[in-house]
Amino acid sequence: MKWYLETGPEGDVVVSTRIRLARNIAEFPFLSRMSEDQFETVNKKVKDALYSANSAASNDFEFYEMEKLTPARAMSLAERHLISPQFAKDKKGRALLLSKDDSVSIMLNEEDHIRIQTLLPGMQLQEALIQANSIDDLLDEKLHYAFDENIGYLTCCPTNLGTGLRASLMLHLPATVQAGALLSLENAISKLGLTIRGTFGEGSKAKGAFYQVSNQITLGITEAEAVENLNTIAQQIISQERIIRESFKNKSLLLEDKIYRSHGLLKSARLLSADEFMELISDLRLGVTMGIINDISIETINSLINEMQPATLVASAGRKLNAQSRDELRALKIREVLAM
Amino acid sequence: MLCEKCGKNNVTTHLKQVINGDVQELHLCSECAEELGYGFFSSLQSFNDLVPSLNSFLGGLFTQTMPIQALNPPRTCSVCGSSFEEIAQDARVGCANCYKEFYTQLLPSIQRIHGKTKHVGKIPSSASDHLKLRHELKALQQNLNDAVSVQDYENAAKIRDRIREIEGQVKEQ
Repeated sequence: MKWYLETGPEGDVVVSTRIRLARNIAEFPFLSRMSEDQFETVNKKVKDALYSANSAASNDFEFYEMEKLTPARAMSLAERHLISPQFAKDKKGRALLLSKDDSVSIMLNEEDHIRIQTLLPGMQLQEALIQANSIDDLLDEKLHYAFDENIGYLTCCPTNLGTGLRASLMLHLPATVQAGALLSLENAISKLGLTIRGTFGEGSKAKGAFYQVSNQITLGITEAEAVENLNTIAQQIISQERIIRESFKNKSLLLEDKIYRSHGLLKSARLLSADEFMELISDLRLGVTMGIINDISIETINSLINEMQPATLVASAGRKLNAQSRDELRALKIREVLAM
Repeated sequence: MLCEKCGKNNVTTHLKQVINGDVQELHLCSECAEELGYGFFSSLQSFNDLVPSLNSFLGGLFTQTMPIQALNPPRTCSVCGSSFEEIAQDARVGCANCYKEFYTQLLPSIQRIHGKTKHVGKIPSSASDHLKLRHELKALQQNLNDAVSVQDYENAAKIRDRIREIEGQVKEQ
């Protein structure tokens, strides 16, 4: 089962947890200084290291050469946060090891030789860190990591030095946004060594009030401390979001009207763009988590969010689609799911 | 002049930003400027869309240490051939050895980025025995505190014995 078909802890606000570890192999230069042969050797070395590891986990991975994937397939992986958009766009010499349930991905020759990433539903920072560490330990048995006693794991960009750890939570904050509290939240977070940015949509305009909060600092802090910092601050964001949601109940007619309208549009529209879909599904998600709408599960909503993104839709159709036929297919699939 | 972001349209918006006294300029078309909004400097997401600008911004962090470098003859990494100027320019280090070779020049930037310069996290299996022992010692001290806080004195005594043992080994080394 794919990881996003489950709802994790704090699932009303936290959509998913992601942990990423950046690692490099000591005997190769970093990306900008690598030859084509070295790209291939790195891919092979890591693949062999994982497959030869004495662990059940290693049989769980598929190996993909990125160049062999269609552009839609590659972008679809990025839309589902399994790889970075850059990794999907520039596929030359790059490869991916992906677990069958899509919860662990290992990008090879991204910015660093190895980027281990674990994804779990809801708020599961500890669990995701344990999983990432266990993959890291498997590879560490066979590979010689670039490491320095003073500055830790050596990375291509000095912003990742030390632990190479980036921990992120994807949060759904419709009430915080509606109440106009996002700006003050952004300011507060940046002072605490964390960042917040929109998950869907470009630039500063986040679509559907989905935000990703991550740690920034990786040197002079342990993995456990970094994760605990993020956890503490996220708990405050979550409780603020819940308090505002609760306060909305005083204006329940306005709120219900908005949610039922969005539900109606999703059930009836014949054309739905990705942007409009994200705004509507965000309302619906809020309605479901607040108990206003009871016949749809959060799991259904989370899987729609994953599966209705543009490239994922095209990849599932298995043929080229222009913008209108994509919007038509999206509307059709959503009607089918919501009619069930 | 073409927009630095999309590379297609003519520039209509010129933006200036001062970071630690370094002036950064951006030249954008009206669409891209609109898309990014006026507050975009505060958002790293927007910077990700402008990868070259982000790199030159990070590069700016490095170049502040460059006058020291300028006094010395230009030097390149003996493994990958990168010079410090090249590293500073795109904020990407050439290879693991660059960190050794240019350690003193990179250190002020690392301090600026992270606020600290000493790794305290996980260590790989290839780390020296000395480092492994120190690492284990730290973990045991944490365990000891945990055991004492829940008044598990039997376990605490065992942990303390192990700590003494390791401290002995560290001293021998």
